[in-house]
Amino acid sequence: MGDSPREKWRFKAGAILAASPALGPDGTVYAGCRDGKLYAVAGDGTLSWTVETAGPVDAAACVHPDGLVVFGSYDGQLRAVDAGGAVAWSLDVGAPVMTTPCVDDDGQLWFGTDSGRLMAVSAQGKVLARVTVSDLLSASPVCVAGSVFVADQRLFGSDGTRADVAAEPIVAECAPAADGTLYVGSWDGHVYAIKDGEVAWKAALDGQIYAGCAVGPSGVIVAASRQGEVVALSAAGERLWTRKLKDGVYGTPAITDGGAVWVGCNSNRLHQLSMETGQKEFSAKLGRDLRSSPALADDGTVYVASWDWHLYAFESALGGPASSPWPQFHGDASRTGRWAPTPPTIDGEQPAGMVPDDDDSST
Amino acid sequence: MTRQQLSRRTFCQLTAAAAASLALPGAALGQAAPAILTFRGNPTRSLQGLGTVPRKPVVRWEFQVGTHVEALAGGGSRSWKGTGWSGQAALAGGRIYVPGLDGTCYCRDADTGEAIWATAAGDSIKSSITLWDDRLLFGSRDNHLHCLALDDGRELWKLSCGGKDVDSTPAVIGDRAWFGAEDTHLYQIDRDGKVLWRYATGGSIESSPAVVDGTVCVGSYDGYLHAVRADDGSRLWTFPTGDDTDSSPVVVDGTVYIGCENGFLYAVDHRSGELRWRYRAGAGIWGTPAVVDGHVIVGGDDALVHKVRASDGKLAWRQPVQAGMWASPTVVDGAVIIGDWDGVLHALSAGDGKPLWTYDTGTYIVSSACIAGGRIHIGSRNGTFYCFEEASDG
Repeated sequence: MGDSPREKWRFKAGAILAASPALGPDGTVYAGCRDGKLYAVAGDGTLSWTVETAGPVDAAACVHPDGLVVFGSYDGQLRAVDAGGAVAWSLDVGAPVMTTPCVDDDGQLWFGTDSGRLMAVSAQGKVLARVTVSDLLSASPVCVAGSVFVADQRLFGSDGTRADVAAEPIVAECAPAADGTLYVGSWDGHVYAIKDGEVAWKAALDGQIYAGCAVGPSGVIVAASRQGEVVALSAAGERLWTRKLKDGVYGTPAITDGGAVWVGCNSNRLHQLSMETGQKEFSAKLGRDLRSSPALADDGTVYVASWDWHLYAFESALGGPASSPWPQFHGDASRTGRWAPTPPTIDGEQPAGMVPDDDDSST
Repeated sequence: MTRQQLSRRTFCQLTAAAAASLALPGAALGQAAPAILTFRGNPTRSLQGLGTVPRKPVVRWEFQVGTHVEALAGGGSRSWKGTGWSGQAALAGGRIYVPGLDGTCYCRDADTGEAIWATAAGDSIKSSITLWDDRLLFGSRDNHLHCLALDDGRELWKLSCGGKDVDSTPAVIGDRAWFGAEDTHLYQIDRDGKVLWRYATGGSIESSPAVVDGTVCVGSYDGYLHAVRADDGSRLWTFPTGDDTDSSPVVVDGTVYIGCENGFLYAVDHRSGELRWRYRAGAGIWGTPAVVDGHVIVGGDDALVHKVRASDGKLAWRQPVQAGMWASPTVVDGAVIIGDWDGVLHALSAGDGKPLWTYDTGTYIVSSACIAGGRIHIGSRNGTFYCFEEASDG
């Protein structure tokens, strides 16, 4: 690589940063912290404001398209703050919220709780739906083509999907392919492809899986295990390459449109691999574990939050997120957790198997 | 919880352990002085302490544990002071046995703190001490399990364990001992340190095994709680904890309770390995839960002490302390005693979690307390090992 990634800035928070960063439309980065605060850090690395909660903030915030930043805390509240840091509303959920909300096609927010409930609230914080899915939800829900999905060994869909998937718990979110197939890894060490509520295939990795899958160009899936195995799988489940890292991966990889994959490690490394071969192209050494998922901005900047209390920004010429349904954790750097098929354009290539969901598309 | 209830339950636990083995470790030492024989008191890891807890603690005696300076591979050094994780002292026959991070096992008069003997291992001792009739066991970062004579501390034997640290604390019943090692194996040995079997997990073991009803349970880095037959080491079941499991299993009434680095506290059926319930702390759990009066109490790296119902995992209370915790709570006499990463020793009410008192040692406490006879014995990473008792006007 001619232009190696370069650290742009680092910002020190008050404790371990365990949540994945989220990016606002004005370039503000939101990072949840074990000191109970959500930090809003401006694009130049300076603190804008913090919002205090009574428990660790371990799940990434979701930046709603209307501008509110919505995040859960271990204190059992879901909070929405505006871009200035004022709390717009706070909802007492009665159980820790360790998941990142997703935004559905109507702008409603869905999230999971430690009491096993999947809940939907309006952008104004009014509870619209509440359904018990499990004894405890770790995975963040995602909205795919209008329906909300979350897995905890079983897959639950708001469209009525109920499927037994894995032999052991699932703590990662489901990642959609363009045709609506969902990919998710489990502690049982397998990545599962679920199509129309059925397991289409499974692929074994070396070790338990915490990280969500990223889905890149041509439907290639990047998955990673707690033993440090990073793999690329074809949409049919064939292994394309394998990269064995020294330390485990807990966060979802991020795929750039310049052919790179960013992967954080639980040692203290941020790696950049070639999407083509899995070859390691660059590594940055941080102070401690990097267990959350990198946030990849459109300008190619990568934001990572580490257990060393720092939020880092790395500049790179490897491009913004790949133009695929799910290039990074929760679909995009704003962590909206939503993917909807877009009508094919005349010069764009329509991914295989894609089914446009309405007929006033293209032409 | 009344003191009478506590002593009755303690008696039942000891009786059960005695029934499981005709030679209860330490039984020969007599009834006069209270005894805490191993990490969490017994082979099921369910006995944390005996007697009362001071309500107005004062230092009865203290002594300085030495410092071990470790040269780091990349240059520089790290100093190991005081006692480590799990680092619980053992108490019997009026003597206290302290595992030092300086690599020394100290035997002191429990009444006065005066030195009786001290024996050096080759490196830091992070494990707790287990007493075994006329001898004691501990693991060391010198990659050995050590066996010393109780009377004068001479080394009877040491067992090399695959070139890796031994941080797990042995459980002993009769003529057998079980412990884990970072070489990924669970070991069964006899009194002479002869290995009778080894069981391989998929990762390093820092968890201390719990042995009851012919089953040994232990956590591993591989993300599983393993249950094997105590006699031949064959696998009975595994349960996915999902992450590094340094916490030790506690077996009470047919249920295994164990924490995990991913923040989960699990209750698992001891016979089948099936999940009964799970509860999540706000950050990782390195400590071993205390199971008392139908509740489970554990400290998290989230700086919260959690109390949940043993039957269904429902929250009773969560109490913030000053910093995260790797230590295991000792719950006795209606009090929860636990140290945190700021070096503060906390006493909380077991009933409602409210603070009773604190004692600041200045540097972090990751060791678990040995409590008996109205005294709290605990080491801090400030280098000091303390014996607290009730103030005379307390």
